[in-house]
Amino acid sequence: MEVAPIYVLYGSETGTAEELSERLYRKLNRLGYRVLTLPMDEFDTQKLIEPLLCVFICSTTGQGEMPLNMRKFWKFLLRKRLPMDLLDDMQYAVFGCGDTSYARYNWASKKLDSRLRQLGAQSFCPRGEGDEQHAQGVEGGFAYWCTHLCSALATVKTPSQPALRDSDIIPPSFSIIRFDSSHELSKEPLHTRGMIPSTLQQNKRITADNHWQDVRKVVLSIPKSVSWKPGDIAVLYSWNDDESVHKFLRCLKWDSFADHSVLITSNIQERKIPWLPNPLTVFNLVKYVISIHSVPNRTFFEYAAQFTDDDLHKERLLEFASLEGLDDYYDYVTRPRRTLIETLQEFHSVHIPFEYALDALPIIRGRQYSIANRCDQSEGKLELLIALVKYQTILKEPRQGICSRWLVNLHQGLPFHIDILPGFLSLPYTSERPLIAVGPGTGVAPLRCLIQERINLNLKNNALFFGCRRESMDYLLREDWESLKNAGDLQVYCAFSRDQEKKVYVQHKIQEQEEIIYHSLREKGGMVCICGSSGSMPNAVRDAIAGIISKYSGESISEGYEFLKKLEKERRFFQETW
Amino acid sequence: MQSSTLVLTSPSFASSEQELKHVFSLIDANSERELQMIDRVQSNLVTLPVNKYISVIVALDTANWSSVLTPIFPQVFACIQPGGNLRVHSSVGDNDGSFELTALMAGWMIESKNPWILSRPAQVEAVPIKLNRSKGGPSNETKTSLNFSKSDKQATLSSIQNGSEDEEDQDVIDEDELIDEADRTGDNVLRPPECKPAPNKKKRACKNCTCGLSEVEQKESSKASAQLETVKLNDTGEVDFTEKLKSKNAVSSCGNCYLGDAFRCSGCPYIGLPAFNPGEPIVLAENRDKMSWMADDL
Repeated sequence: MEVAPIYVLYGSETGTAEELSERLYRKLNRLGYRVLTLPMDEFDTQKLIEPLLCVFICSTTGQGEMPLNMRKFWKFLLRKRLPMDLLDDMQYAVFGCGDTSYARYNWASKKLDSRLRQLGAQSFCPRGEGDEQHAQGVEGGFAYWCTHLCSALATVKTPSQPALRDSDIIPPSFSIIRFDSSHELSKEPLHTRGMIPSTLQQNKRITADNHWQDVRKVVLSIPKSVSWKPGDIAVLYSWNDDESVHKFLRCLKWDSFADHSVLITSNIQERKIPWLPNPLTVFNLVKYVISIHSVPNRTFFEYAAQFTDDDLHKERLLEFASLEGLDDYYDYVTRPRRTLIETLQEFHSVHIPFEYALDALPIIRGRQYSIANRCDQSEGKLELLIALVKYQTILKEPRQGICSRWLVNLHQGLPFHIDILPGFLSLPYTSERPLIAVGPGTGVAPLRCLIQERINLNLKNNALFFGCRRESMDYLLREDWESLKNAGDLQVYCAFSRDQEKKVYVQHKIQEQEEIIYHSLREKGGMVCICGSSGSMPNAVRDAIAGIISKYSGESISEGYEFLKKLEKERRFFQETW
Repeated sequence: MQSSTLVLTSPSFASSEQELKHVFSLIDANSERELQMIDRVQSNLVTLPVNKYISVIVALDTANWSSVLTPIFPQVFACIQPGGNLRVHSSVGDNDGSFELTALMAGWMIESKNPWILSRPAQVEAVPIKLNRSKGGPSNETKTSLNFSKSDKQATLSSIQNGSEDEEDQDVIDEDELIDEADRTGDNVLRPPECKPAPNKKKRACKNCTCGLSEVEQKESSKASAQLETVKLNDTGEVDFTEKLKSKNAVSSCGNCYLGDAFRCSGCPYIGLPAFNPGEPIVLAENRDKMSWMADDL
């Protein structure tokens, strides 16, 4: 009879929770347990009444919300009609990835833990928390909790197999069948990741040439049948440049068979292969699937240590992968943002066997960008505002964002696929209510879509508060805003922080317009939409608005905050920060 | 696989060579033996490997040895192979009458009481331990029977899953109330220790440091880099390492500079440069165009 597996179920937005699940999967596997790991949405809810042992790993995203790949599962758990002893036969533990710089810290894992208990599940280990802001990051919290988890697990479940020794290598999750170079394969480029075909029409820099940041207006032409609404998100899938791919292949000594075709299958029935066109050449696997310019996680170091015959390298790699070496990993990898390919060049003795490629190496993820124009189905045009990421760390070579590195060189006319994901903009924007939109920097992107949509519906009661460094350098899409202002469709208030001696930010502009703000919100049922970088801006804006409300109504400042809470409850206040 | 026995003891017990020798004599000659200090396990300085030992001997010379042992029951239980045992070796008896109950609650089987020998059961079924459970959430208006049979549960589940889309959206509990519920029932959560560095590790400032440590760190690092004679790159991005070595300022104290950042000391002038072969120039990037970016002026 087959042993029931331990389910490691995750809800992951940026891949952190997913990576920790994979790490836990391997750890429990090594201890001799049978384990299956899945995103929560792929777990068959019918199974919930069976005796189960589950470990849940989930991040918190947005405003204390569940990541996308667990929303369906979560919605199911919230159903009122579920019997209160539904999960009587479930033993579980929860770990949450969070960030204390957000007010609703780790709310997702807290809510999940609470609901599971309400439905009768038994927790065999206390809930764990990881915090981005902690000295050792989420990793530190996970490592600490994981040791408790494994001890507690031992008291409720015996492994079905003997534990592996440290020197044993866990078998690969995927089987790779190699064909020789004579195998026929389609020569078509592989830009098929994503459902929506698009062509790059424009990739234009819209900040001044001597400004430190390169912000692009990207215009894609897409099928006219595609539609989206304000707040929706475009997902772009990048790939690696050929030069880097060759370097990488040489590093791992895969260059001798780079043009061979491979077919990849999963060794574990319930475990799906990540996206890839199958079969494909080894070269294309590295080009389109492996994220060679991303920062390697500790999982990678675990594998790397097993695939080197240089003792000095092995020792150091093991240290980086260990709990005790978390500080070292942070100093060597995280803080300088050292990439996978740079790490492999330094640890040149590491030769990961090709069969372990998808286990050991990070995979390219899509990048999300708020759509910056309203959907006009006669045009078939989708616009994005993308700030290219480039900065310096202690490493001499400057760091570049994965998508930035790709975007920088894209030429007009290039075809590739994208996806569109639904956003969460929950404002009654089709109503006559006045709109107060606050969006410094690239935060203005989704606001442009929202404002264009309202103007198209003949709703002209709109105010935009925009902020940037200098009017002449980074006033994004100035022409658009000025023409809308001239047409009487939009009030525009700009804070150029460095154009004068004193720093001026959006919240100061809001304070200047206190009368308008007060009347719009208090008397005309107006709504507020804040978009942009997380950090001090959203709170400063909230403080400013609360201050205005309390001043004009002659009440205390706490009344001002109460008013904001009321707005949120009525869905008249939306905040999207990243 | 070679069997191992773990001896968990205290510094005071271990200071007596005679006592320690006696404990070791209790161990099977064919078994590998390991020694750990029990206080290091308690303070998480040592993590016991799971399912490793065939036997554990707890050797303590204090009268209240059970109060030292019971807090680490989970870790000790887990480190013993299923079917293995734990022996308490103590010259001093324990008056704690609740030790037996505590041990049973923790999953042990009692083999003997004088001396105390506990064993970890060979096979454990994943049977949920029914402890006190809070029934009903604050916003669960529907009163459902507590005695749902499995087939009833199945029927309810199926009907929920096959329900219409509209029903799905309206018929859910208020999830934000779950936060209040969690706080009310005493949120039991495991967090890593706050800013307590491992021994010998430097304390590092958190991202949003409010205690002033990050300012101190920044001062130190700018002072250090001012003192460092960093290796300058010439126009083509190359560094002539041989030349640098010859000059008297570039004496490597560890000889590991060429191995890469992973092996360099914190004051190494080559930090940030890739690994290289001694004698060869370092080339940063084949086709590096002139850097036109300016330092981030945040």
